[in-house]
Amino acid sequence: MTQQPNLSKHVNELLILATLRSGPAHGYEIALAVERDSEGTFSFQHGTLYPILHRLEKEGLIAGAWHGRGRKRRTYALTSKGEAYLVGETRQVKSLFQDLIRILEGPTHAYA
Amino acid sequence: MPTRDELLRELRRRVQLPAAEHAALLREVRGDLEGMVALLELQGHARAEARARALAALAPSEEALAALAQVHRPLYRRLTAGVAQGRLRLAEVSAVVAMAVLAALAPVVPLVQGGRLPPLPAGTLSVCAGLLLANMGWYAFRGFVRRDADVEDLERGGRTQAGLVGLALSAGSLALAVHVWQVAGAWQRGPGSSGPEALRLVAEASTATAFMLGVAILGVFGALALLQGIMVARDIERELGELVESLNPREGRR
Amino acid sequence: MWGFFAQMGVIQWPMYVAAIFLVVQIARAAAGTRQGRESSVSTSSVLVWGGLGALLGILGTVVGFSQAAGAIAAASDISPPVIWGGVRVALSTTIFGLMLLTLAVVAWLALQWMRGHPKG
Repeated sequence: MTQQPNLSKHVNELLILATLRSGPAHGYEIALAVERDSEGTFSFQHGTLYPILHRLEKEGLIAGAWHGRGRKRRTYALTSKGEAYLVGETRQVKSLFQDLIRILEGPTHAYA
Repeated sequence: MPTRDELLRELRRRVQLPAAEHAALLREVRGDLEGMVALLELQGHARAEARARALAALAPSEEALAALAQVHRPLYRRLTAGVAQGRLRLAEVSAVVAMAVLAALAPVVPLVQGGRLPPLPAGTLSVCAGLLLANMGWYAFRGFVRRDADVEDLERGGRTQAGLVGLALSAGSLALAVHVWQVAGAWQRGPGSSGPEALRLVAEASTATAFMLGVAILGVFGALALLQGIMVARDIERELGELVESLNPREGRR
Repeated sequence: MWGFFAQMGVIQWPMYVAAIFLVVQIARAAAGTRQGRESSVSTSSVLVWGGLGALLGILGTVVGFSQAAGAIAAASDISPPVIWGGVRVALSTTIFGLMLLTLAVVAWLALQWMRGHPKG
Protein backbone atom coordinates (compact mmCIF):
# COMPACT_ATOMS: atom_id res chain seq x y z
CA MET A 1 0.00 0.00 0.00
CA THR A 2 1.45 3.40 -0.98
CA GLN A 3 1.91 6.11 1.68
CA GLN A 4 -1.04 8.53 1.88
CA PRO A 5 0.09 12.10 1.12
CA ASN A 6 -0.52 14.70 3.83
CA LEU A 7 -2.69 17.09 1.81
CA SER A 8 -3.25 19.72 4.47
CA LYS A 9 0.46 20.08 5.04
CA HIS A 10 1.18 20.43 1.36
CA VAL A 11 -1.62 22.78 0.33
CA ASN A 12 -0.38 25.82 2.30
CA GLU A 13 3.21 25.26 1.17
CA LEU A 14 2.21 24.90 -2.48
CA LEU A 15 0.00 28.00 -2.34
CA ILE A 16 2.96 30.06 -1.11
CA LEU A 17 5.39 28.58 -3.65
CA ALA A 18 2.93 29.11 -6.49
CA THR A 19 2.39 32.75 -5.47
CA LEU A 20 6.13 33.37 -5.46
CA ARG A 21 6.43 32.02 -9.00
CA SER A 22 5.35 35.46 -10.25
CA GLY A 23 8.20 37.15 -8.35
CA PRO A 24 9.51 38.07 -4.87
CA ALA A 25 6.90 39.24 -2.37
CA HIS A 26 6.47 40.34 1.24
CA GLY A 27 4.62 38.04 3.63
CA TYR A 28 1.46 40.17 3.60
CA GLU A 29 1.50 40.27 -0.23
CA ILE A 30 1.60 36.45 -0.29
CA ALA A 31 -1.35 36.30 2.14
CA LEU A 32 -3.41 38.79 0.10
CA ALA A 33 -2.52 37.13 -3.25
CA VAL A 34 -3.58 33.67 -2.06
CA GLU A 35 -6.89 35.00 -0.79
CA ARG A 36 -7.51 37.00 -3.98
CA ASP A 37 -6.49 34.27 -6.45
CA SER A 38 -8.55 31.60 -4.68
CA GLU A 39 -11.49 34.04 -4.34
CA GLY A 40 -11.50 33.52 -0.58
CA THR A 41 -11.33 29.69 -0.64
CA PHE A 42 -7.90 29.73 0.94
CA SER A 43 -6.64 32.36 3.37
CA PHE A 44 -3.92 32.64 6.00
CA GLN A 45 -5.09 33.73 9.45
CA HIS A 46 -3.51 34.24 12.88
CA GLY A 47 0.02 34.40 11.57
CA THR A 48 0.04 30.78 10.35
CA LEU A 49 1.87 32.08 7.29
CA TYR A 50 5.11 32.66 9.20
CA PRO A 51 5.98 29.15 10.43
CA ILE A 52 5.43 27.89 6.86
CA LEU A 53 7.55 30.66 5.31
CA HIS A 54 10.37 30.09 7.80
CA ARG A 55 10.27 26.33 7.31
CA LEU A 56 10.36 26.67 3.51
CA GLU A 57 13.30 29.03 3.89
CA LYS A 58 15.18 26.58 6.11
CA GLU A 59 14.57 23.82 3.55
CA GLY A 60 15.98 26.04 0.80
CA LEU A 61 12.78 26.19 -1.23
CA ILE A 62 12.51 29.97 -0.84
CA ALA A 63 15.07 32.65 0.02
CA GLY A 64 14.33 35.51 2.40
CA ALA A 65 16.04 38.91 2.38
CA TRP A 66 15.67 42.22 4.23
CA HIS A 67 15.06 45.29 2.09
CA GLY A 68 14.72 48.99 2.54
CA ARG A 69 16.37 51.71 4.60
CA GLY A 70 15.56 52.42 8.22
CA ARG A 71 12.65 50.05 8.94
CA LYS A 72 13.56 47.04 6.80
CA ARG A 73 10.97 44.60 5.45
CA ARG A 74 11.40 40.97 4.55
CA THR A 75 10.74 39.60 1.09
CA TYR A 76 10.78 36.03 -0.11
CA ALA A 77 11.70 34.65 -3.52
CA LEU A 78 11.35 31.20 -5.05
CA THR A 79 14.62 29.30 -5.46
CA SER A 80 15.38 26.85 -8.26
CA LYS A 81 15.04 24.03 -5.72
CA GLY A 82 11.63 25.42 -4.79
CA GLU A 83 10.63 25.66 -8.47
CA ALA A 84 11.54 22.00 -9.03
CA TYR A 85 9.73 20.98 -5.84
CA LEU A 86 6.61 22.90 -6.92
CA VAL A 87 6.56 21.24 -10.34
CA GLY A 88 6.90 17.75 -8.81
CA GLU A 89 4.33 18.31 -6.07
CA THR A 90 1.83 19.92 -8.47
CA ARG A 91 2.00 16.78 -10.61
CA GLN A 92 1.42 14.60 -7.55
CA VAL A 93 -1.50 16.67 -6.27
CA LYS A 94 -3.05 16.68 -9.78
CA SER A 95 -2.80 12.90 -9.96
CA LEU A 96 -4.23 12.58 -6.43
CA PHE A 97 -7.23 14.77 -7.20
CA GLN A 98 -7.85 12.97 -10.50
CA ASP A 99 -8.04 9.66 -8.60
CA LEU A 100 -10.28 11.24 -5.96
CA ILE A 101 -12.70 12.72 -8.52
CA ARG A 102 -12.82 9.42 -10.37
CA ILE A 103 -13.90 7.66 -7.17
CA LEU A 104 -16.39 10.39 -6.19
CA GLU A 105 -18.06 10.44 -9.62
CA GLY A 106 -18.52 6.65 -9.34
CA PRO A 107 -17.83 3.75 -11.74
CA THR A 108 -19.40 3.85 -15.22
CA HIS A 109 -20.53 0.24 -14.89
CA ALA A 110 -22.80 -1.30 -12.25
CA TYR A 111 -21.88 -4.34 -10.19
CA ALA A 112 -23.79 -7.45 -10.98
CA MET B 1 -2.27 48.56 31.66
CA PRO B 2 0.76 46.25 31.65
CA THR B 3 4.15 47.94 31.38
CA ARG B 4 6.51 47.30 28.49
CA ASP B 5 8.66 45.05 30.71
CA GLU B 6 5.61 43.02 31.73
CA LEU B 7 4.58 42.59 28.08
CA LEU B 8 8.11 41.56 27.22
CA ARG B 9 8.25 39.02 30.05
CA GLU B 10 4.86 37.63 29.01
CA LEU B 11 6.00 37.38 25.39
CA ARG B 12 9.27 35.66 26.35
CA ARG B 13 7.30 33.21 28.48
CA ARG B 14 4.97 32.36 25.59
CA VAL B 15 7.51 32.45 22.78
CA GLN B 16 10.26 29.90 23.17
CA LEU B 17 12.47 31.41 20.47
CA PRO B 18 16.12 32.45 20.79
CA ALA B 19 16.19 36.22 21.30
CA ALA B 20 17.68 37.08 17.89
CA GLU B 21 15.08 35.01 16.00
CA HIS B 22 12.34 36.47 18.20
CA ALA B 23 13.36 40.03 17.36
CA ALA B 24 13.64 39.19 13.64
CA LEU B 25 10.14 37.66 13.67
CA LEU B 26 8.59 40.68 15.35
CA ARG B 27 10.41 42.98 12.92
CA GLU B 28 9.00 40.98 10.01
CA VAL B 29 5.47 40.95 11.45
CA ARG B 30 5.56 44.70 12.13
CA GLY B 31 6.79 45.40 8.57
CA ASP B 32 4.07 43.19 7.07
CA LEU B 33 1.36 44.72 9.28
CA GLU B 34 2.34 48.23 8.19
CA GLY B 35 2.49 47.15 4.53
CA MET B 36 -0.87 45.38 4.63
CA VAL B 37 -2.62 48.27 6.40
CA ALA B 38 -1.20 50.75 3.85
CA LEU B 39 -2.28 48.55 0.91
CA LEU B 40 -5.80 48.01 2.27
CA GLU B 41 -6.19 51.74 2.89
CA LEU B 42 -5.14 52.38 -0.73
CA GLN B 43 -7.85 49.93 -1.78
CA GLY B 44 -10.39 52.08 0.03
CA HIS B 45 -10.73 50.37 3.43
CA ALA B 46 -10.99 52.50 6.57
CA ARG B 47 -7.86 52.52 8.76
CA ALA B 48 -9.51 50.70 11.67
CA GLU B 49 -10.88 47.98 9.39
CA ALA B 50 -7.54 47.66 7.57
CA ARG B 51 -5.69 47.31 10.88
CA ALA B 52 -8.17 44.72 12.18
CA ARG B 53 -7.88 42.66 8.97
CA ALA B 54 -4.10 42.88 9.03
CA LEU B 55 -3.92 41.79 12.69
CA ALA B 56 -6.34 38.91 12.07
CA ALA B 57 -4.24 37.67 9.14
CA LEU B 58 -0.73 38.27 10.41
CA ALA B 59 -0.51 38.51 14.23
CA PRO B 60 0.79 35.07 15.31
CA SER B 61 -1.52 32.94 17.47
CA GLU B 62 -0.26 30.59 20.21
CA GLU B 63 -0.35 27.77 17.67
CA ALA B 64 1.69 29.74 15.15
CA LEU B 65 4.19 30.73 17.86
CA ALA B 66 4.56 27.08 18.91
CA ALA B 67 5.13 26.08 15.27
CA LEU B 68 7.72 28.86 14.91
CA ALA B 69 9.51 27.66 18.06
CA GLN B 70 9.72 24.20 16.45
CA VAL B 71 11.10 25.60 13.19
CA HIS B 72 13.74 27.70 14.97
CA ARG B 73 14.66 25.20 17.67
CA PRO B 74 18.49 25.20 17.97
CA LEU B 75 20.17 22.09 16.54
CA TYR B 76 21.47 21.08 19.99
CA ARG B 77 17.96 21.11 21.46
CA ARG B 78 16.63 19.10 18.54
CA LEU B 79 19.33 16.47 18.99
CA THR B 80 18.76 16.22 22.77
CA ALA B 81 14.96 16.41 22.70
CA GLY B 82 14.59 12.80 23.82
CA VAL B 83 16.94 13.07 26.79
CA ALA B 84 15.61 13.63 30.32
CA GLN B 85 16.28 17.24 31.38
CA GLY B 86 17.93 16.38 34.70
CA ARG B 87 20.36 13.95 33.13
CA LEU B 88 21.08 16.35 30.27
CA ARG B 89 21.93 19.21 32.67
CA LEU B 90 24.22 16.93 34.65
CA ALA B 91 25.98 15.82 31.46
CA GLU B 92 26.35 19.43 30.26
CA VAL B 93 27.79 20.69 33.55
CA SER B 94 30.12 17.67 33.81
CA ALA B 95 31.41 18.17 30.27
CA VAL B 96 32.12 21.87 30.83
CA VAL B 97 33.83 21.21 34.18
CA ALA B 98 35.92 18.32 32.78
CA MET B 99 37.12 20.45 29.84
CA ALA B 100 37.93 23.34 32.17
CA VAL B 101 39.90 21.12 34.56
CA LEU B 102 41.92 19.59 31.70
CA ALA B 103 42.62 23.00 30.18
CA ALA B 104 43.69 24.40 33.57
CA LEU B 105 45.96 21.47 34.45
CA ALA B 106 47.65 21.26 31.04
CA PRO B 107 50.10 24.17 31.54
CA VAL B 108 50.48 23.68 35.31
CA VAL B 109 51.58 20.04 35.54
CA PRO B 110 54.75 20.43 33.43
CA LEU B 111 55.71 23.59 35.37
CA VAL B 112 55.32 21.86 38.75
CA GLN B 113 57.11 18.70 37.58
CA GLY B 114 59.95 20.86 36.22
CA GLY B 115 60.30 22.50 39.63
CA ARG B 116 59.59 25.95 38.20
CA LEU B 117 56.28 26.44 40.01
CA PRO B 118 55.79 25.61 43.71
CA PRO B 119 52.84 23.30 44.45
CA LEU B 120 50.81 25.67 46.69
CA PRO B 121 50.52 28.58 44.23
CA ALA B 122 50.22 26.05 41.37
CA GLY B 123 47.27 24.28 42.98
CA THR B 124 45.54 27.51 43.94
CA LEU B 125 45.95 29.07 40.51
CA SER B 126 44.85 25.83 38.80
CA VAL B 127 41.63 25.91 40.75
CA CYS B 128 41.08 29.60 39.88
CA ALA B 129 41.92 29.01 36.20
CA GLY B 130 39.57 26.00 36.13
CA LEU B 131 36.73 28.06 37.64
CA LEU B 132 37.34 30.89 35.15
CA LEU B 133 37.39 28.51 32.17
CA ALA B 134 34.30 26.69 33.46
CA ASN B 135 32.38 29.98 33.81
CA MET B 136 33.44 31.17 30.34
CA GLY B 137 32.72 27.74 28.85
CA TRP B 138 29.28 27.50 30.48
CA TYR B 139 28.05 30.86 29.21
CA ALA B 140 29.56 30.30 25.77
CA PHE B 141 27.71 26.96 25.66
CA ARG B 142 24.44 28.57 26.76
CA GLY B 143 24.84 31.50 24.37
CA PHE B 144 25.98 29.70 21.21
CA VAL B 145 24.89 26.06 21.54
CA ARG B 146 21.83 25.90 23.78
CA ARG B 147 20.89 29.50 22.82
CA ASP B 148 18.82 30.16 25.94
CA ALA B 149 20.94 32.77 27.72
CA ASP B 150 19.14 36.11 28.17
CA VAL B 151 20.53 39.46 29.33
CA GLU B 152 20.16 38.63 33.03
CA ASP B 153 21.97 35.32 32.62
CA LEU B 154 24.85 36.96 30.77
CA GLU B 155 25.11 39.78 33.31
CA ARG B 156 25.28 37.21 36.10
CA GLY B 157 28.02 35.40 34.15
CA GLY B 158 29.92 38.66 33.70
CA ARG B 159 29.78 39.47 37.42
CA THR B 160 30.93 35.95 38.28
CA GLN B 161 33.78 36.28 35.78
CA ALA B 162 34.92 39.56 37.37
CA GLY B 163 34.72 37.97 40.80
CA LEU B 164 36.77 34.98 39.67
CA VAL B 165 39.47 37.28 38.24
CA GLY B 166 39.60 38.93 41.66
CA LEU B 167 39.77 35.50 43.29
CA ALA B 168 42.67 34.46 41.04
CA LEU B 169 44.61 37.60 42.00
CA SER B 170 43.87 37.48 45.72
CA ALA B 171 44.11 33.71 46.27
CA GLY B 172 47.13 33.47 43.92
CA SER B 173 48.92 36.26 45.77
CA LEU B 174 48.00 34.68 49.11
CA ALA B 175 49.34 31.27 48.08
CA LEU B 176 52.57 32.83 46.84
CA ALA B 177 52.99 34.89 50.02
CA VAL B 178 52.41 31.80 52.17
CA HIS B 179 54.94 29.83 50.09
CA VAL B 180 57.60 32.55 50.52
CA TRP B 181 56.75 32.79 54.21
CA GLN B 182 57.19 29.00 54.63
CA VAL B 183 60.50 28.98 52.77
CA ALA B 184 61.72 31.98 54.81
CA GLY B 185 60.76 30.09 57.97
CA ALA B 186 62.75 27.04 56.90
CA TRP B 187 65.77 29.22 56.10
CA GLN B 188 65.42 31.09 59.37
CA ARG B 189 65.44 27.88 61.41
CA GLY B 190 67.75 25.81 59.23
CA PRO B 191 71.23 26.24 57.94
CA GLY B 192 70.20 29.36 56.04
CA SER B 193 69.92 30.04 52.34
CA SER B 194 72.65 30.09 49.77
CA GLY B 195 72.76 32.50 46.88
CA PRO B 196 71.52 29.96 44.30
CA GLU B 197 68.66 28.91 46.59
CA ALA B 198 67.58 32.50 47.08
CA LEU B 199 67.69 33.04 43.34
CA ARG B 200 65.63 29.88 42.89
CA LEU B 201 63.01 31.33 45.24
CA VAL B 202 62.96 34.53 43.19
CA ALA B 203 62.55 32.49 39.99
CA GLU B 204 59.68 30.48 41.54
CA ALA B 205 58.00 33.65 42.75
CA SER B 206 58.36 35.23 39.31
CA THR B 207 56.91 32.18 37.55
CA ALA B 208 54.02 32.06 40.01
CA THR B 209 53.34 35.78 39.55
CA ALA B 210 53.50 35.45 35.77
CA PHE B 211 51.11 32.48 35.87
CA MET B 212 48.76 34.39 38.16
CA LEU B 213 48.76 37.41 35.85
CA GLY B 214 48.22 35.08 32.86
CA VAL B 215 45.19 33.54 34.54
CA ALA B 216 43.85 37.00 35.41
CA ILE B 217 44.36 38.25 31.82
CA LEU B 218 42.60 35.12 30.49
CA GLY B 219 39.75 35.92 32.85
CA VAL B 220 39.61 39.53 31.69
CA PHE B 221 39.40 38.41 28.04
CA GLY B 222 36.52 36.14 29.02
CA ALA B 223 34.85 39.04 30.81
CA LEU B 224 35.24 41.22 27.70
CA ALA B 225 33.67 38.47 25.53
CA LEU B 226 30.76 38.20 27.98
CA LEU B 227 30.44 41.99 27.99
CA GLN B 228 30.16 41.93 24.20
CA GLY B 229 27.44 39.28 24.49
CA ILE B 230 25.65 41.40 27.11
CA MET B 231 25.71 44.47 24.83
CA VAL B 232 24.30 42.47 21.89
CA ALA B 233 21.63 40.89 24.10
CA ARG B 234 20.67 44.31 25.57
CA ASP B 235 20.29 45.73 22.04
CA ILE B 236 18.03 42.82 21.10
CA GLU B 237 16.03 43.27 24.33
CA ARG B 238 15.60 46.98 23.63
CA GLU B 239 14.47 46.26 20.08
CA LEU B 240 12.09 43.56 21.33
CA GLY B 241 10.64 46.07 23.79
CA GLU B 242 10.10 48.68 21.07
CA LEU B 243 8.56 46.10 18.74
CA VAL B 244 6.24 44.81 21.47
CA GLU B 245 5.10 48.37 22.21
CA SER B 246 4.49 49.12 18.56
CA LEU B 247 2.46 45.92 18.09
CA ASN B 248 0.50 46.32 21.35
CA PRO B 249 0.05 50.06 21.81
CA ARG B 250 -3.03 49.86 24.05
CA GLU B 251 -3.70 46.12 24.27
CA GLY B 252 -3.25 44.18 27.44
CA ARG B 253 -2.69 40.44 27.65
CA ARG B 254 -3.98 38.35 24.78
CA MET C 1 49.08 30.54 65.73
CA TRP C 2 48.95 33.46 68.15
CA GLY C 3 52.63 34.05 67.41
CA PHE C 4 51.72 34.65 63.75
CA PHE C 5 49.32 37.45 64.73
CA ALA C 6 51.49 38.84 67.51
CA GLN C 7 54.39 39.54 65.15
CA MET C 8 52.27 41.76 62.87
CA GLY C 9 52.93 44.89 64.88
CA VAL C 10 50.66 47.88 65.30
CA ILE C 11 49.01 47.47 61.86
CA GLN C 12 47.21 44.38 63.16
CA TRP C 13 44.64 46.48 65.08
CA PRO C 14 43.04 48.26 62.11
CA MET C 15 43.19 44.91 60.27
CA TYR C 16 41.17 43.25 63.06
CA VAL C 17 38.61 46.08 62.77
CA ALA C 18 38.42 45.51 59.00
CA ALA C 19 38.02 41.75 59.60
CA ILE C 20 35.15 42.29 62.04
CA PHE C 21 33.37 44.70 59.68
CA LEU C 22 33.92 42.25 56.81
CA VAL C 23 32.36 39.32 58.68
CA VAL C 24 29.43 41.46 59.87
CA GLN C 25 28.83 42.80 56.34
CA ILE C 26 28.92 39.26 54.87
CA ALA C 27 26.34 38.11 57.43
CA ARG C 28 24.08 41.14 56.76
CA ALA C 29 24.31 40.77 52.98
CA ALA C 30 23.61 37.02 53.19
CA ALA C 31 20.58 37.56 55.44
CA GLY C 32 19.29 40.31 53.14
CA THR C 33 19.77 38.18 50.01
CA ARG C 34 17.97 35.23 51.61
CA GLN C 35 15.03 37.44 52.49
CA GLY C 36 14.93 38.89 48.98
CA ARG C 37 16.07 42.32 50.21
CA GLU C 38 19.43 42.15 48.46
CA SER C 39 21.18 45.42 47.82
CA SER C 40 24.08 45.81 45.43
CA VAL C 41 25.59 48.40 47.80
CA SER C 42 25.66 45.96 50.72
CA THR C 43 27.11 43.21 48.51
CA SER C 44 29.78 45.51 47.07
CA SER C 45 30.78 46.76 50.52
CA VAL C 46 31.95 43.20 51.28
CA LEU C 47 34.58 43.72 48.58
CA VAL C 48 35.43 47.15 49.94
CA TRP C 49 36.22 45.79 53.42
CA GLY C 50 38.22 42.93 51.91
CA GLY C 51 40.15 45.36 49.72
CA LEU C 52 40.84 47.57 52.71
CA GLY C 53 42.19 44.56 54.60
CA ALA C 54 44.53 43.74 51.71
CA LEU C 55 45.75 47.33 51.45
CA LEU C 56 46.43 47.49 55.18
CA GLY C 57 48.32 44.21 54.87
CA ILE C 58 50.52 45.52 52.06
CA LEU C 59 51.10 48.72 54.04
CA GLY C 60 52.15 46.62 57.04
CA THR C 61 54.58 44.67 54.86
CA VAL C 62 56.17 47.78 53.41
CA VAL C 63 56.53 49.33 56.86
CA GLY C 64 57.80 46.02 58.21
CA PHE C 65 60.44 45.69 55.48
CA SER C 66 61.53 49.26 56.11
CA GLN C 67 61.82 48.72 59.87
CA ALA C 68 63.58 45.37 59.44
CA ALA C 69 66.08 46.85 56.99
CA GLY C 70 66.75 49.73 59.38
CA ALA C 71 67.23 47.41 62.37
CA ILE C 72 69.53 45.10 60.42
CA ALA C 73 71.63 48.02 59.20
CA ALA C 74 71.81 49.50 62.71
CA ALA C 75 72.89 46.19 64.23
CA SER C 76 75.22 45.50 61.30
CA ASP C 77 73.86 41.93 61.37
CA ILE C 78 73.10 40.69 57.90
CA SER C 79 73.09 36.99 58.63
CA PRO C 80 70.48 35.01 56.64
CA PRO C 81 68.42 33.93 59.71
CA VAL C 82 67.99 37.59 60.69
CA ILE C 83 67.07 38.64 57.16
CA TRP C 84 64.59 35.81 56.62
CA GLY C 85 63.14 36.36 60.03
CA GLY C 86 62.46 39.96 59.03
CA VAL C 87 60.91 38.81 55.74
CA ARG C 88 58.54 36.46 57.59
CA VAL C 89 57.45 39.19 60.00
CA ALA C 90 56.85 41.63 57.16
CA LEU C 91 54.98 39.10 55.06
CA SER C 92 52.61 38.12 57.85
CA THR C 93 50.46 41.28 57.46
CA THR C 94 50.25 40.75 53.71
CA ILE C 95 49.16 37.17 54.26
CA PHE C 96 46.46 38.24 56.73
CA GLY C 97 45.30 41.03 54.40
CA LEU C 98 45.12 38.66 51.44
CA MET C 99 43.19 36.17 53.56
CA LEU C 100 40.62 38.90 54.23
CA LEU C 101 40.47 39.83 50.54
CA THR C 102 40.12 36.18 49.43
CA LEU C 103 37.36 35.66 52.01
CA ALA C 104 35.61 38.80 50.72
CA VAL C 105 35.80 37.64 47.07
CA VAL C 106 34.56 34.12 47.91
CA ALA C 107 31.69 35.62 49.96
CA TRP C 108 30.82 38.01 47.10
CA LEU C 109 30.73 35.11 44.61
CA ALA C 110 28.53 33.14 47.03
CA LEU C 111 26.17 36.12 47.41
CA GLN C 112 25.98 36.46 43.60
CA TRP C 113 25.10 32.76 43.38
CA MET C 114 22.42 33.18 46.08
CA ARG C 115 20.92 36.10 44.10
CA GLY C 116 20.75 33.96 40.98
CA HIS C 117 19.26 30.96 42.81
CA PRO C 118 16.67 32.35 45.23
CA LYS C 119 15.10 29.97 47.72
CA GLY C 120 11.65 28.62 46.86
